[in-house]
Amino acid sequence: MTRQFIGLGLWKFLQSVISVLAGVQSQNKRQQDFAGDNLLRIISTCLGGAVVLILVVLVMVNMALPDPS
Amino acid sequence: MKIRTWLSLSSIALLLSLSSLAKAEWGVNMTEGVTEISQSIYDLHMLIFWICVAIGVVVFGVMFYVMFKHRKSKGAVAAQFDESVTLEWLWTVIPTIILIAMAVPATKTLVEMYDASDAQVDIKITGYQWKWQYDYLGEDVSFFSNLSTSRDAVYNKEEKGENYLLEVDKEVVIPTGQKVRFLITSNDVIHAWWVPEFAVKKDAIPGYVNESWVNVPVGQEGIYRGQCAELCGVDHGFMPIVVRAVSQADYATWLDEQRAEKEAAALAALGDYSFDELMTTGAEVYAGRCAACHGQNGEGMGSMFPPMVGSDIVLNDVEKHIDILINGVAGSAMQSFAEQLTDVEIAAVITYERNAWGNDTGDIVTPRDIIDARQ
Repeated sequence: MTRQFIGLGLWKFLQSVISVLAGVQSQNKRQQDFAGDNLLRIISTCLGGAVVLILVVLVMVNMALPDPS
Repeated sequence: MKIRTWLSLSSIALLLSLSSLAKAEWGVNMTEGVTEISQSIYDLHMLIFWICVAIGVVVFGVMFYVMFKHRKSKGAVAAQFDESVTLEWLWTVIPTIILIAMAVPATKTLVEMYDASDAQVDIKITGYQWKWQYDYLGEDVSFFSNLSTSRDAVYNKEEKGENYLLEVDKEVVIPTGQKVRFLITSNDVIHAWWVPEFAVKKDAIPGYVNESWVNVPVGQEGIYRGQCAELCGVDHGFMPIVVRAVSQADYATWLDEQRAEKEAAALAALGDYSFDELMTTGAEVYAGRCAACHGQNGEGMGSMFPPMVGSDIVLNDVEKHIDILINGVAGSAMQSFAEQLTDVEIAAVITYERNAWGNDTGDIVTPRDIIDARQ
């Protein structure tokens, strides 16, 4: 399991995160994500999604708020 | 076939021209208002409206084109596929970009609307069933603003005026060129203070103070009308708002006049009044403040608003009658009129109620009685 996770690669990991956030994913990729016993991969994808979502909201709110100075 | 096509096209053209005429007549679009904020809101509304129109034209245009181009009579066969990641990305990313493009200016306007800091004038607005109270904080000016349309106009016994149900006995006055903060709350149920030309619509909630603000530009002096925008009971449509925006010099003069009026009212309470004078004033006060609930002729309204005619309190218990006017009745719709009416007005309306519609008690309640009862 750990080997699979480590071997995932950052780009594939990010792809999975963005796909989860947007809800757009090919059938092959979905099966790949959920294949085998890679539970750690699914959990880290979800956590990554949450972090990205929080960062996006933070950036957008800061863009919208007026400059305090 | 050609004639039918031409007839159809002509009908559509006629309908479209009628609808544009109708739009001009009815003014169906939102008002641009008179303040910078109201203009921002209007611009935002029009931007989003045209974005929606463009999306509608593109989506329906493509849909109808595809339906026509690939119609069954031309032998079109439906494609059989169940996945197109590229298309899915397109219809996810494009709307997201459009939404963000709309959200950024909308949020900036919202933040500006909520920034009520650094105001030069503070007015506390309290909603009552069914009137508004205005307190000019730090200025010692406070008054109630009631509907001034007569009940006869409401019941079609007289002609309705130009500002039917949008006129009050006392307007709220604000200066132009200054930021005016409104602190909005309620004394009973939820109301909403709404003046479309200012783009201000705020709920008045009991036990909670909402903030809003307006800065009417210099040169835009005038009358601005609004209404309660939250269903608040049987007379919800009878508690309008009238704001008079005046120059700063006129505003200062108006404040002085209000203070002078208050002093004059206090002095007037010490004067002597005849029975006829009290009855005349009482009839006016009753028609404006009491008739909505207790009936034009004191007949009452259902079990909630008791009749004045033949009432035991009205006929026999003058102390209780005065107490009810001054303190209201807890747990009922009867409000305290201590702040809403002057001593003379309270004395006059009690005298009137005790002597009108055949009550004929002969009782005279004087303003001095009211002063004593207040202590």
